[in-house]
Amino acid sequence: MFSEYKRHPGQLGIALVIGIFIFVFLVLPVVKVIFVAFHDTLNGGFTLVNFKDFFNTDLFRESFLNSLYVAGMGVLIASFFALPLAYFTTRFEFRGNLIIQSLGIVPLIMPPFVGAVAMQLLFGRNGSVNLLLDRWFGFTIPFMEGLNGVIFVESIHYFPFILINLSTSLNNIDRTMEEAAQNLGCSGFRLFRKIVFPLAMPGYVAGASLVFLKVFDDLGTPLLLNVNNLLAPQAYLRISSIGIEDPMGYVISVILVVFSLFSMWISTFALRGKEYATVQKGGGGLAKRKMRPWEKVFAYGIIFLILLLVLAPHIGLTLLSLGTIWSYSVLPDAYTLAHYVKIFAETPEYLNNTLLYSSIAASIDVIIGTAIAYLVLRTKLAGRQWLDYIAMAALAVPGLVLGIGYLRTFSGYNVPWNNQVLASWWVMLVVALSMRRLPYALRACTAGLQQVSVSLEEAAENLGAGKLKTIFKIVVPLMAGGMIAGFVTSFATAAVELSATLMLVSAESDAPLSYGIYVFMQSAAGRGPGAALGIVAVCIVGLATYLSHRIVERGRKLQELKRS
Amino acid sequence: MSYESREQAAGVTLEGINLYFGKLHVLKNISLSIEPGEFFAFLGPSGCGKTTLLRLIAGFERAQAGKVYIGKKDVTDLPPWKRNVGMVFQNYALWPHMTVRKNVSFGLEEKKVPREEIEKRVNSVLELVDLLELADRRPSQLSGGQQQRVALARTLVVQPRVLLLDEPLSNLDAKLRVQMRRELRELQQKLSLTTIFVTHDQEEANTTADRIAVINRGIIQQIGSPMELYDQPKNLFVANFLGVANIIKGEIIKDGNMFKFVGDDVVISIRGENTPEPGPCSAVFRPQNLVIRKDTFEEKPSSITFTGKVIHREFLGNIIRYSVRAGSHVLSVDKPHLREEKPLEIGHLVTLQLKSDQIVFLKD
Repeated sequence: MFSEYKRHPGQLGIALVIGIFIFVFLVLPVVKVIFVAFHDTLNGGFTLVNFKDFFNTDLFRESFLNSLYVAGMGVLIASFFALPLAYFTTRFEFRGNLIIQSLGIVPLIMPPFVGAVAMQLLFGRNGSVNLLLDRWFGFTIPFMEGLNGVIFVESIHYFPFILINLSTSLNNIDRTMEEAAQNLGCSGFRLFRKIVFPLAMPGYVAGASLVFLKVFDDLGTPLLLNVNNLLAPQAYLRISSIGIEDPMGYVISVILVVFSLFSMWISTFALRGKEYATVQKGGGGLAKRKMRPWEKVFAYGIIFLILLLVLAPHIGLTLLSLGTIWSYSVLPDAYTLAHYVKIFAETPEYLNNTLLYSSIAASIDVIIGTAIAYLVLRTKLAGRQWLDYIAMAALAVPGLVLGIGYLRTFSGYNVPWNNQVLASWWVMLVVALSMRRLPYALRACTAGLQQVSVSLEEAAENLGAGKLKTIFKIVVPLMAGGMIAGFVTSFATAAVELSATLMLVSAESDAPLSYGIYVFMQSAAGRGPGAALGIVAVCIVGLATYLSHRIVERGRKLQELKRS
Repeated sequence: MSYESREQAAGVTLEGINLYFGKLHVLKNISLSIEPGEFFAFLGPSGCGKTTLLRLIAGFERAQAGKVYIGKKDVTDLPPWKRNVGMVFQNYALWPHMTVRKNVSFGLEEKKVPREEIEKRVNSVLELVDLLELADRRPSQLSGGQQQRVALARTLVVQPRVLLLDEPLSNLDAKLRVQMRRELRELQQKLSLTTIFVTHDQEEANTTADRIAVINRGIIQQIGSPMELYDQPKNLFVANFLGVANIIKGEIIKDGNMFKFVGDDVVISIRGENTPEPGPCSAVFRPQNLVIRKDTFEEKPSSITFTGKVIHREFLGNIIRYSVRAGSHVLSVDKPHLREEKPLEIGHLVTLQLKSDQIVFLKD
């Protein structure tokens, strides 16, 4: 009965087309990068000489250690923000849950590079905070000096990854785990240390490794803060100044990929151990209790401080986008809308390009995501699971590495009708964006399809509808929620992608928003318009994220209705 | 070290407990007293409040009114970690990140017992529950029955003054459940430890407990030994909850100096001392008290008879349970099953006889 599915030529054809597409635009560029890193240009064999050169160069060694240091400290500071918030919300009856949930999307709607310059104006040596500190108390804090700046900005942006994962873990701990310990005489901080935290460890490790990975790979933030002695900026600078023949960019790429894979492995490994922390019969989540008045004051105080910090980039960016001149002063001298006028009147191409690129990329993602989800969940095609694995592997490829891979792989070809170099053709940027964001769309589509019962399709087939007709009349409408959510997430995150964009944009007329922000922010005069672009980006992404959240929520409610 | 040399077992006393979850009145004016060394069961349907009551004794719930005493000590305001009552959770709540040995020694470490003594006591209790060889395993590597014994050992090792068991057998399969409840009872007798056992299974309560409190809707319906509850239920809920009961609704009427129960097509004269007050009432009797026959009985003054028709039959192995329609009543009748005895068929006309001293009259 199932052999008919196996021999279905259409399914095989679609699987092959998708497989080839992903291979050419994801696997091949990455393999090329790795190949070049280990390739001996003189006699064509395998060599480690590039890595030897790398570690024999002081600047690279320093960059490598700096990157490790920044990522490690990033995790530490992010944990410092996340732990109290996670603890308060899971342990006490607390009105902060909405805040915590909203914090979860902060790193998605505003990547750290967008707010980096604004943070400099707020927390830099002559920024608002230090000016006030100096005026009132006579000292300053070097928040933004050198590596500190990168650590500070990144941890503020990425700590929600730890917060969300840790809170989920804490909420999944079976309440009786805690009660059994209390019953045996354990309480207070000992209880947290011996029982609660070890059980929540998987969530913490998963979040922490994600933060490590994000900070380690980030290109835009250090470049904008003018901290270049880190791995990602070094790779970018080598490729953009010396050229794509220089092997050091590839060596760094390999190191970035290795660390990405390592952190992702740690994260999945940690979550696999999670089976034991899940809720058993008898109610889940730590026992919550009411706070005493002084505890309330303390808790809300901490929450308020952290919120202020998290929102600092947004506040700074808004001020910057509306200010005339903001330098050596606590606040801008005067306010104006001129920057917004400028970006809409003089450089509308950034915005237009972003909308165009992101929608095409997100459409590609949803089409491929739906197809893979269908192949994996509804067919018996041999090896179908591999499509899923390979598409998900994009998560481990930093944008910078994919960009370098595209340059290397597609520079030798020209677009037939306009003779442009293929690698710098805008369509390639779109394809790169779609590959980068494919995992998000794929997961959303898979989730959407999983909610559609097979029997609904079988009913249609039973009544005479063919496979294709069933897919378009039954499957697609029913999983539309998942597809839209996937589209929006891919769209939103593609709109603020910088590292691949920096590598692949060759002409400003082809550049999207994120590139525009980067270019504007380079000069003091461009900061205002740059910030205005940043605000526009945040609005677009924020709106998109909100919409996708609503769609997912509605889908979930419909699902509940169907069950009841 | 032996477990007999423990601290003197303590009784538990509850006084006027009233507990609300929000607006929901979960425990209603509960007072009871459990003797030291007694095996006591809270029995009731799910949602009746029995687990809440157990958790209240352990200190995990706080009543809005009432007192909890363990021994002579008022523990109403003590947090769970200062009560020294041992609780075995329904899902065992073994910590998955610790080995069996670490799980069991946890409570002693919390009490700052010296290391050598911890080792001795942990070994001894693991031997008691026959798990010494598995001491270095993780809970996830054990079977359900073994996990349950670890949970028990973890609680027993700290020598609690009272042992609380929250449906400890509900996650085991039927065979193991029967074996474990026997072991539990033997262990409890050996340690003479005050034990409170929560269950919704009357058979489990009957076979283990010295006394049972039947609870429904947050109210204690009756307290007594298993046999008392079965033979002299105080109300219909208790009669129904402990086994199958035939119930005939009717009224008690005073007829001269005699009392009579009058129901649909049924009149029963009442003898004996415990005559209920006149008024609406139910006559309750068990299926095994009825004798069923195809032919008629000789009328006896001490018995009442029904005639009817078999409408349903269930073969349960040891007995056959017939449903007989007699007038407006449908009565359950149990007949012991003997080999090669032909059962009655559906549609057969039958006569039922019931000795009137087997009937309990309950006010509604």
